[in-house]
Amino acid sequence: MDIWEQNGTQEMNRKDFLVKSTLGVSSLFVLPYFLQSCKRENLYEDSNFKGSVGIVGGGISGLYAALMLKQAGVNVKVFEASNNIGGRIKSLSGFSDFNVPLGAFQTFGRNSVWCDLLNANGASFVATDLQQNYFFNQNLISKSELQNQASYSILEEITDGLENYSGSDIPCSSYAQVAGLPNDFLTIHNALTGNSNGTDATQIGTEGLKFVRQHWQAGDDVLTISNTDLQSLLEVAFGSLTNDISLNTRISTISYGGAKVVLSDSDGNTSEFDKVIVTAPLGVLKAQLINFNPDLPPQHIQAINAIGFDKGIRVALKFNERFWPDNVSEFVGGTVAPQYFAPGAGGVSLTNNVLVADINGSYADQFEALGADGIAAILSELDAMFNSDIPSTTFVSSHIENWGDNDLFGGVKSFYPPQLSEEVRTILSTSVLNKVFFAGEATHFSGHHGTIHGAMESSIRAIQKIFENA
Amino acid sequence: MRILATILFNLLVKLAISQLSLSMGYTNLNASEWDEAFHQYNFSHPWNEQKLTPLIHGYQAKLGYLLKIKPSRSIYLKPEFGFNRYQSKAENFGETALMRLDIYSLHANLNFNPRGIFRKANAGPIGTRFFMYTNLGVHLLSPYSQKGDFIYNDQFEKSKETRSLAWSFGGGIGYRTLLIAKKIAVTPYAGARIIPNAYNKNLPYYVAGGDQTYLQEKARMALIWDANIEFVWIFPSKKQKQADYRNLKT
Repeated sequence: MDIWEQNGTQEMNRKDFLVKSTLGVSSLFVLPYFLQSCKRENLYEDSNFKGSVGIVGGGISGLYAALMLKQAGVNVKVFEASNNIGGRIKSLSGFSDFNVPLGAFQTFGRNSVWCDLLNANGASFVATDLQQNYFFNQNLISKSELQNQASYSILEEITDGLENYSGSDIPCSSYAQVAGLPNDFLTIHNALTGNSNGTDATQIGTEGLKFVRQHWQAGDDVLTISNTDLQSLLEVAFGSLTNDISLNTRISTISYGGAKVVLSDSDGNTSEFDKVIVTAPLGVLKAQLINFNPDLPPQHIQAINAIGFDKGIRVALKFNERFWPDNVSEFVGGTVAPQYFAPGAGGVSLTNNVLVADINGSYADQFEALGADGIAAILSELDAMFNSDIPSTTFVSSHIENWGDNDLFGGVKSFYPPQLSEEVRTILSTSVLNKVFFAGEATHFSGHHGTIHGAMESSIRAIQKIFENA
Repeated sequence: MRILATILFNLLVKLAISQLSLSMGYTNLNASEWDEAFHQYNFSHPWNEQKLTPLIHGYQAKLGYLLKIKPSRSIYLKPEFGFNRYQSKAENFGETALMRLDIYSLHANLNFNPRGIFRKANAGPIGTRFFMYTNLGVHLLSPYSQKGDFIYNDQFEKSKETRSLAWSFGGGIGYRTLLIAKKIAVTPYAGARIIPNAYNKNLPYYVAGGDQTYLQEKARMALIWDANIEFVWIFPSKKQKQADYRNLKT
């Protein structure tokens, strides 16, 4: 009797069963290999591009692009205008018992290629239980004390709550006024919205910050490396590129009208490449320190001019003794310097005797205007914060890094001014005649601009476009 | 109301005389747009010794019921719940990168034997030995990503769209090879499902982080191949059994 077919088919005998089961089981083993043999496309392995690429700028974006291209067998050369690699990742050595960061030093989020690069190069991170203090009503208070203030909910709504903002695109400072934020919160608000984004609250738009919060993919952790500094780490990570980097070579002209792209440096030397990736800071492009021949398309020029890129100053201050709690890494809300970092906190430094004042936007203008009195103004502000003269009496020395005044950079990092469409970064990231490609933090169009990992991600995009169009 | 009650009653009766089916097997995912995220991840991590392979090979399990629709034409319906898992893992510098895509599916399979179209098959409780099937289904795509101690889902699950639904159609063939103790039919079968619109907004981000390359959130066409062993527990009711055997005698 056949339970599954009753129209005369005979039940299988033992031999049939063995033959058919063997065939069936064998096919199960063979099938995966058969399917695997169906070759799938891989842009990065199958690219037809075998030409040469010149990279303008030896910051993280340029270095990373060079590393990836080199692994793909592409002939690559990096031109760096200064005498060291890293761009806005820069450390000050010999100032204290650790290399003091003068540019980018924090890592925002663990889900990024930058964090992966740090891990791969043996970086270890400071424990994340470090705290921020806030300068509020002439008192330095903890975050929990700030949260107990009556109007804290307004501050929270117009900073962390920007993701759900539904009003028009206005300066963050105007939004603070509209929301009714009391005056004693304004300097903290400026630090959290403006200064931390490379400008001040009057220059940065609400929609731009909302866009970032909505599109951020890297995670929320803020990490600091404990066992080295970022510039030293870059030298290790990109050590294999030593022979591919030309330091002290300032590219002044990019001629892309012919079959090849010709790069001319300020000494009159020229080099030819099939493609060029421009990773120079936005400030350099804004100041037209690189000439493009022919001129860049008007939409590129408009994008370059429209994206915000403000002045920024970092002031390293060394003291005889540490007068701040060891577990506090940041003081927020100054009027001379909106933010002070303790980069030696969390075990980075044994002495932990250095504060770095972070001054951006109009605050940087004010600091510059103070001239030689600038340091005194900072010390006076610290005296007020700590309600004692210990800061000014224990002060030893300072170092000023003026990123805005340096024509190799022209500012700190890009941001969205009010009423600026998010599209501008996409326009800036578009290649010109499939020969000139743009990368760098300012060209990141999906929320990671102004970050190291954003700069790296933009390099992946530039290379993908080169490979796609080959 | 009466109609609904009648439908429900009929459904319960059908279920009572149905055949429980459990399948397990290998599954192969082909979604080139999602593969690209892995290619990009590998290319952008030249320092990694171990690479992440795209989500290709996986395993699946299905649980369903075989319902008789028209045994005389060997037509059966098998509603089925399925689970597919595709996983990719790499260890570099003491840190594990793990990417996983779980697909939960609900399918309606229509089993048939082409022979039954032209002449009566007079099939038993689970159909003819050789059969073909076609199916319609809906899939819930649920990715998971972990890099070191960073779990992407923990960060973004609440705030961003991480799961998505997609419908599919497909088909395949099977052969009821073995009957164990006249109760459990063992059937190897293989088939394919096409998901024309496999959309998951954040899947590329799970792999490649902050994407700048327009990695496709939508696979134009995801194709799932599978090869399974099915176990069907046959428990015909007395009347059914008598009817089947009566048919056999005629």
